[in-house]
Amino acid sequence: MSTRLSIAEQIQRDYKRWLGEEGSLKEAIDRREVFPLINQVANELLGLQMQNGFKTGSIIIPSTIIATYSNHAVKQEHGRYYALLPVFPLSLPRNVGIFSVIPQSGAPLVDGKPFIPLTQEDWDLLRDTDEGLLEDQIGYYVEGRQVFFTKNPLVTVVKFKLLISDPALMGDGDPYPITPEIEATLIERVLAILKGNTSKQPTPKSQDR
Amino acid sequence: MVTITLDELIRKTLHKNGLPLHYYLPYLLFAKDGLKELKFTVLPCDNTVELTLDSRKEATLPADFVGEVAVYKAEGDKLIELPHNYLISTFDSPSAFPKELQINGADASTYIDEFGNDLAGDFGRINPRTDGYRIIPELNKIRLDNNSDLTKVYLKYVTLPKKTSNKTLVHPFIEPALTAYINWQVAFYTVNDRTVMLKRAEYYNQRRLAKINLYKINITDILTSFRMYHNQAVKS
Repeated sequence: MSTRLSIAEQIQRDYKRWLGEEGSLKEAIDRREVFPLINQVANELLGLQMQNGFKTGSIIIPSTIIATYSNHAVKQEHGRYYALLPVFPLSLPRNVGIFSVIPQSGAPLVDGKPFIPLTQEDWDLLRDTDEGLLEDQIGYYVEGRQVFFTKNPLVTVVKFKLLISDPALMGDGDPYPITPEIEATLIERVLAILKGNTSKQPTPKSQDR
Repeated sequence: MVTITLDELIRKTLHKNGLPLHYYLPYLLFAKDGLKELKFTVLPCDNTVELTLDSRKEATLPADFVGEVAVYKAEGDKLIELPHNYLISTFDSPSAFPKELQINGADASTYIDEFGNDLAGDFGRINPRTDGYRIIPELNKIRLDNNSDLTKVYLKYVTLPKKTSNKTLVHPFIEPALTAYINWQVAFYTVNDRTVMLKRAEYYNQRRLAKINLYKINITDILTSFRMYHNQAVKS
């Protein structure tokens, strides 16, 4: 199974091969430069993969890219309850990037039933209607980094499940949370950026030189 | 009675359509619309209430009243359905009626009582109708003939879908029809015409099935199915 380290090493080897005899080890790219590029390109590819799924009407969410952030405090301000997003997830229709917000209570923490996701427009339009009661359930909507609840969530902490490839959640040797089918594309895209070529189709190696 | 909640139905429909919880609210909107339509068409009779009439022989309609099914009076241990009387005045108070009105040179009060009720309709009748009723939606009232001696009536009426602690309940027989309605409406706003037509046909099939499950077939259903694809009635 690929790890971020193994992907980075493969990119380094390919890059060095591309530099060939003209290049030297000094010119070889540092791993610390490759890691952020891998994360950025991985999120871009995952976002595109999901967007294409939405266009065809099928919403298949690879569970490998769900990042979990537990034990986040619920705060109150001017009668509104909210929690802060730990990171910004993938931008997808109907805020699917925020896969779920789950109440947590007890010690040890136990997950409850997920809150109902709404968009800001939904809540503005329907907050005073019967539908706004959400069948006696609690919803949430997002404003910037704040996740507001439609009423008191009755818990002090929540868990976020976000669609993102977050480097903070994994070590270099951990399995990298991308689907295998986009791994090759990820390496190609990172190499293309390193070579100064931002096109999505890197040119063959023989022509690169 | 066994019921399911609208929440359960929406979650099941989302799952069948391969959608996450993020589509809950659009589905909830469609489900509520569909449930209202089915309530008015397939499950019309919903609630019965005892109304006490005041001296004006009228009573305020229940807060959840949508439309009447029938009005009854109690006679012994039986309920007798009352007839409509569309001649009952809709004036809200006696003072609203112009007393100086003259009809054929005579004082209007000869023909019309102080509330504006037409008395001529009962002229010559041995047993004038006394217990007819009229629903007056603009006043939110039910009114009986002024000379009725009833003090209580029983109103059977259509209401909005029932809720238990803010959870809407759904009759199991209409669950497939409601699911079909949601799918039709989702298709209406998202996909091509042919799919919409198929989903629409599926909804009407399911609605018919729900009706068959709930009630015996009647003459109206038979005539409807005979004339389904014809715009004109059968000529004699």
